[in-house]
Formats: sequence, C-alpha cells, structure tokens
Amino acid sequence: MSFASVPFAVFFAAVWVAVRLRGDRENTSLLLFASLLFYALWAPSALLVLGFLLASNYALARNMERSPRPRGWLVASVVLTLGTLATFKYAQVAVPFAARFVPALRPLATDVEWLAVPIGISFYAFEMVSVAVDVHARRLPCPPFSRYALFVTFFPHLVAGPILRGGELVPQFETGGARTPLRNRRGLWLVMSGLLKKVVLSDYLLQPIVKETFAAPGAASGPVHLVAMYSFAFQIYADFSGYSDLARGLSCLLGYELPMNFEEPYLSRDPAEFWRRWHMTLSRWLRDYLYVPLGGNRHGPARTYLNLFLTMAIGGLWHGAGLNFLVWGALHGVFLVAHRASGAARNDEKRPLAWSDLPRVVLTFHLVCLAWIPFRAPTWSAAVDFFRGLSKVSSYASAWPPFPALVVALAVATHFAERALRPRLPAFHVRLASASWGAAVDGALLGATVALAVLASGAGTQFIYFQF
Amino acid sequence: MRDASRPAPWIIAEEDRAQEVASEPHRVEVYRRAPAVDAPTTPRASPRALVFAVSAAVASAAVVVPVVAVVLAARVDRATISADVARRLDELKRTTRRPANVREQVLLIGDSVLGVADGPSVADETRRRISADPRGRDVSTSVFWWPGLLVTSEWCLADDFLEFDADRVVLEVNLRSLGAGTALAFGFPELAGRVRADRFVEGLSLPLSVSGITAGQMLFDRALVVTGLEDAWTRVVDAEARVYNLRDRADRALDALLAVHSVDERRGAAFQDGLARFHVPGKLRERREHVAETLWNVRLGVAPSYPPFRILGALVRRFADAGKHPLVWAAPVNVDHYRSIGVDVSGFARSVESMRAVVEENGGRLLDLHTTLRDAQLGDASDHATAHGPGAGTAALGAHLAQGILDTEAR
Repeated sequence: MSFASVPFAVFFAAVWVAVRLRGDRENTSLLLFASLLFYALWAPSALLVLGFLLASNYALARNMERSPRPRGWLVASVVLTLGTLATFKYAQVAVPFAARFVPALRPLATDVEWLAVPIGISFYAFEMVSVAVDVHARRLPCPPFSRYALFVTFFPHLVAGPILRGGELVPQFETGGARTPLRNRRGLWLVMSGLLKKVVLSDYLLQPIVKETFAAPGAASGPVHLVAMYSFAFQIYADFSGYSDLARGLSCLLGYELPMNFEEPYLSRDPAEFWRRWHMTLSRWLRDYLYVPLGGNRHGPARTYLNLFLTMAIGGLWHGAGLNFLVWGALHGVFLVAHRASGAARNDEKRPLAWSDLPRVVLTFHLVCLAWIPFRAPTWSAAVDFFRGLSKVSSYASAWPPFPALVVALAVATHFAERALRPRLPAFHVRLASASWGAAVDGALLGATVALAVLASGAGTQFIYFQF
Repeated sequence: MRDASRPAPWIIAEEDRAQEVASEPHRVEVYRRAPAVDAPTTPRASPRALVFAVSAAVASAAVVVPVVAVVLAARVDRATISADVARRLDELKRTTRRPANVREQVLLIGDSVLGVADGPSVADETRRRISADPRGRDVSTSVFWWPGLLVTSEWCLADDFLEFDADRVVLEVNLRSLGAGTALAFGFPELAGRVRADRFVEGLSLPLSVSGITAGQMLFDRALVVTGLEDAWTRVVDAEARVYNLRDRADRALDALLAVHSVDERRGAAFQDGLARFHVPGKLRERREHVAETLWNVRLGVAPSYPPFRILGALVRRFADAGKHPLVWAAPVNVDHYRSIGVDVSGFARSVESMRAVVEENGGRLLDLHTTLRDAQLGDASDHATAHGPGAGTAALGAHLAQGILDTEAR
C-alpha cells in the first residue's frame, strides 16, 4: 500500500482511530501489530525475511550488551544483516553470472528475474546495523524486543525511510508519544505537502517528459533533453521528499517525531552542502557507519579523498547492482573530493542564501543534474545517448518545449517557496491553533489537497525509492 | 509506562524546538526531559471538527467540479483501465447464450494474437474451421480476448470465466508475455477485485506482486466488489485517467498559443527512434538486441518452477477442478527470423516442454503451436499472424487450433 493511495488512507484511518481511543497509554503493541499488518498486506512472504533479521539481530544485540567481548557479536550482526541485504539486492546480477559456471544454478538463474526484493530491506537493514553499532558503543541500551521491533518496523518509515537511529525513536515509544494539537496540525500539513509533491508535482506534472525522453534518449532536441534532465532532478526530489513528508506527517499524527530527510537540496552552494540537505538520514548513516570507520579525515588528505570517494561509490551501490548507480555514486565522490581539494570546504549551510551565492548554487545544481542522468537511464548506453542528445548544440536556438519548461519553472519556484515558508510555519501553526478559523483553514486545505491528489493520481506511479 | 493522569514529562516545550531537534542529524539522544506545556487555547473540539469536515467537503468539491467540467467539456479521452477488461467480460457473459442444439460450448481466451487482424482473426478462423469439420458441427465457440492479457489477469478472472456456460476452456499462452517486465507493464492489478475469498491464500502463494497485486490490493478491490462500490470506484478511476490526459491537452494548448509544435516534434523523434532501435532496417522484424527484452528468459529455456508457470498451473487446476477440460496452446513465435539473426531457438522448445509438464500436472492438455507459422505468415515484429493471401497466418493457425480442439475432445 503506497502512502498516496486510498487503501492506505483506509488503513491509516483505522490505526489513527485505534491510537486515539487508547488516549495517553503506551501503544507499542498496537503499533507493532499495525506495522506488521501493513507489511504483510504488501508482501506477506517478505515478512519472513523481516522476522528472521529482527529476531537474529535482537538476539545478537542482547549478547553484545551482556558480553565482555561484544565485538564478535557486532561483526556477526553486521555480516548477517548486510549479507542478507546484498543477497537480495544483487541476486538478479550475481545468480545468472554464477550460473554460467555452475549448471545447477541455471533454473534459479531464469527464475530470478521474478525475484521481488523484500520491500524496504535497504532501509530497515541500515537501521538494524545502526542499533547494533550504537548498542556496541554503549550509546544506546538495548531496548525490550517489542520496542526494538517497533523501531525497525514502524510503518511510516518502514519501506523508504527516513533511516533512523535508535535514540531518535525508542525513547518516544517508551513514553507513548505525544498527540498535541500543534503536532497534529504539523502532521496534517506535512501530509498535504507530501501529497502535493508526490502526486501532483512529481507524477502528474514532471514525470511524463522524463519518461518520454529517457525512453528514446538522444532522439529529441537538445533543449528537450535539458528540460527532461531538470525535470528528473525535481521529479526525484518531489517524489522522495514528498514520501518523507508523508512519513513524518503520518508519524506526527500518531504522536511521534521522525527526523527531516530533505532541506531544499538544490539550493546548496557546494556538493558537501548538497549531501547535508539530500537524503540527510542516509548521508549521516554513510558518514557515521562507513566514512568514519574507514578512517574519515584522520589519516591525511590522500586517505581522506579515498575515503570520501569509496563512501559515495558504496552509497551508489546501495541503490542497486547496476553500473549506473556505481557511476552516479562515483561522480558524487569525485565532486566531494574536488570540492575538498579546492580548499573551499566550509560548513556554511546555516548562513542564509545571498545573491552572491547564485553562481555556486547554479554550478552545484548542474553537477547534481548531470549525475542524475546515469542514475535514471536504464542502461549505460542509454545514458551515453542522453548525453549525446544533451549536446546537440545547434538545436538550442529553437525547439524548446514550453509546457515542460514551465513545469520546471514551477518546480524551481516551489523549492524557493519551501525555503522561505519553512521557518515561518511553526508560528503560523500556533496562530491557527488559537484562531477560531483555524479548523476551517486546515479542513479547506486538506479537502482541496486530497481532491487534487485523487484526481491527479491517474499516473499511478510507485514511489521511486521503493525499488531501493 | 508513564502515569496517564499526569502530563508527559518528556514533551519538548515548543513544537519548533521539537522539529529543530528531530532534524539534527548527529544527535542520538533527541528527547530531553522537559516540563510539559499546555497547548494554546483552542475552540471546543466538536464544533471544530464540524467546521473542519464542512470546509474539507466544500474545498474538495471546489476542486473536483471545475476539473471534471473541463474534462467533460474538452472530451478528454483516456487509456485502458482494468475496469474496461472487466466490463467487456461482463458484457460477454451477459450476451453469450448456449445455443440449444449444441453438444459442446468452447470458450477461447487469449490476447491480441487471438483477436487482432486486419481480416479474419485467429479466433474467427478457428471458429470457421470447427464448424466446417463434421466433428465440430454441434460445437459452439465464444471468445474473450484483450490486448496484453496476461496469465496473472486470467488467474484473477478465473471465476468469471467459470461463469460462462462453457464445457471447455481453451487458453492461449503467448511466450512474449511471460517476463517480469511484461507482468509489470500489463498487470491490470485492480482485477484482483474479481478474486473470491476462497482463493486469497492461493493468491498469496503466487508471485502476483510483480503485477502490483498485493494482499492489500486484493482485499481493497474485493471489498469494493462485495460492497457494490465497484462502479463508483470505476468512475473515480475513469476520471483520474482522463485528468491524466488533460496534462497532454495543456501541453498542446500552450504549443498552439506560441505557434510551435514541440509535442509533435519530440513524439515524432521518439517514434522514429523507437522504430530504428527496435526493427531490423527495412523490415518489421525485431533486432537481436531486443529479443532479451521481449522474450525474457523464455528464450533460454525455463524450468517448470518458472514463476509465471506457477500461476498458469494454478489457473489450469482451477479450470480442471471445475470440469472445464482446459486446453492450453503456446502461440507462435517467429523462429525463422530468430534463427536468421543468430538466436538459439532450442530454448523455446525447452520452455514449452516445461509448460507442458505444468499444464498436464494440473489436469490440462497442451497444444504446442510455437513453431507453426513461417516468417511470411507473421505480419509484424510482435508475432501477430497475417490475415490475407493464400498462406495467411490466421487461417493456418486457426486450422491448427481447431484441429487441436477437436482432436483433444475426441480423446
């Protein structure tokens, strides 16, 4: 059940009512049941993989906590979890390859194209590793099993993140969450934002030109390719950040906070800032559990560059076994290394944007856009054809597609609007809460958003990050 | 668990602060203990809920009414939806009557190979040949075909097929339709509403999720059917599909306003590119590079465990258990052309043998027609038969199929 679907709305309404009826009591069992049901309604067989990883990782975490030498348990937990993840994610490439040499694998090699990767495994596997490492480092006491299981399976974040750390959610489960009017309102507004981004902006407005151009890369004019490239950049942003808004909003409505995952990444001034604003929970996971253990910046510039590059390349492979994902990750690795080597590395994302930042923002945005091409293209040769289409210089004087270009302009404006509105929203919510017309505003916005989302959902596209 | 009578001690004092803290990427211990604060004074809950509901209803109507009005006024068309398949089947069920003097009624089910032709189709030719044969004088045939109809959709519709007053079911299996990519593209997942509760468990054991048929989808769509809301929901989906095409109208309208032809230019370029990439130069035959995309692993020779065969097995078993004597036929692929471009065609035969094993194990029979037609008898790169000329593919295939139907009946 996708969050942007009527069956999910029915499911969520039932859970929400059940949680409200229980008042301030702890909801661990109820939410755990709901989360497992949510997953089972999606893919009952995948529940076996989830259950196996939950049970084994929990047992290992308990041993880790009790053992005087916990390192072995940690290694076992990480190998088991990431091994299972890799088995599913890379089977479609690895099994046919292995079958060339092992005839007994041939029937499996032809069946494997139908193998459905357990939905959300990339996300919950990383969360399990995060808990294991934090328990090992004594940053987090191992919670009771029900809370551990709920932390991993909590349905708003189960299938596509945000990728949480135990300390962010387990303490909230301990106290049963907080369903305050302000949090409810924020949840509602996040849900509305998510629906508009995902269904209207991403699927309805941006997706068609992307689909059309990437289906025949190199065929249309240069401007069409350029607009399609921009469109995909905003499509994947609207899709994934829309999903994250929905996840956070639904969680707020149930009384729990999830961390932000996106913060207007295309307004970043350099690649490092981009990664502090794009898929923030994955970035910090890669930093804390990969880059730092690799040595981080502690062993001189050359090793730092290598660590940066490796972290991003492995981050690319996390998305899938394709060469395109590796190239995408490697390109970002190169951008980060070049940025660091240039000496321009500085942590200034808290400073407001100024007009003088515009060239850096535009440059960063275009580097990110170019890297999206291999990410989106179905094959490497399709990516090369797309680059060829993009470089049809003579066609840039004409042949611009006006409607898709207008949609891109709308997406850019939305990005700036998000940056401008976010800091003002909390105060506005407080004002709405005390105003007699607050409920009317909420109701009208929700009604209009849901109606628009239902009407525009004919594109019927799944969230892009569900495949990872 | 905390004392429910006291305010939660850990609630962060300001919502802004909560958002800020929760967004801090490096922090593990997010929630500090802090005195709870009262929410700002708000109007009473019940009138507020009423105001909320009324304004939501008014606002949604304010969005839906003008959009639907524009769609109707502009007569925006739409693509095929699952309801079209179901509606066609319902109509056929309503209008199909078993003739009084008929000994055997046969239901032919298939995709465009069965029904599409610019002359008499395979279904027409099969029917003609059956009635021309002395053994088939009192055999009647009815036909249900839909472009891209997959074994997953047929499994969903199995109970509807059983409602036909047919003695036998003849099922086409197109080797091109057996890949995971095809299952995703032509899934019609809403047909899951036609799956009755007694088949849910079987459904969960089959790889239907690649067609978007999840347990949740089955329950939701079944609930619509059972509660009689299917028609209302179909109207919503119909509106969605038309609103989707409204975007295309807006694209063209802006082109017209600016006196440019960007839509036609880019679609024309994509079409030309598609033709060039897909076809052997100068021929309506696919390139070697595309065989893997269109014939999937079936070209390599798949085992009886191949996931679509599991669905086929369940479908055949359903028909066999209902006494419909299922006959499955493997539709032709252009083996002549594949040989000419260097594709090893022995894999097809192995796949068909696996299919035979599955079909026979589940109480059906298999008619292998995958090598029946020569290159000249196939009209396009998707292996649709030609309908004209002395060696017309539809006539040849119809003859083989009719013969197979009559022969297997006689056995």
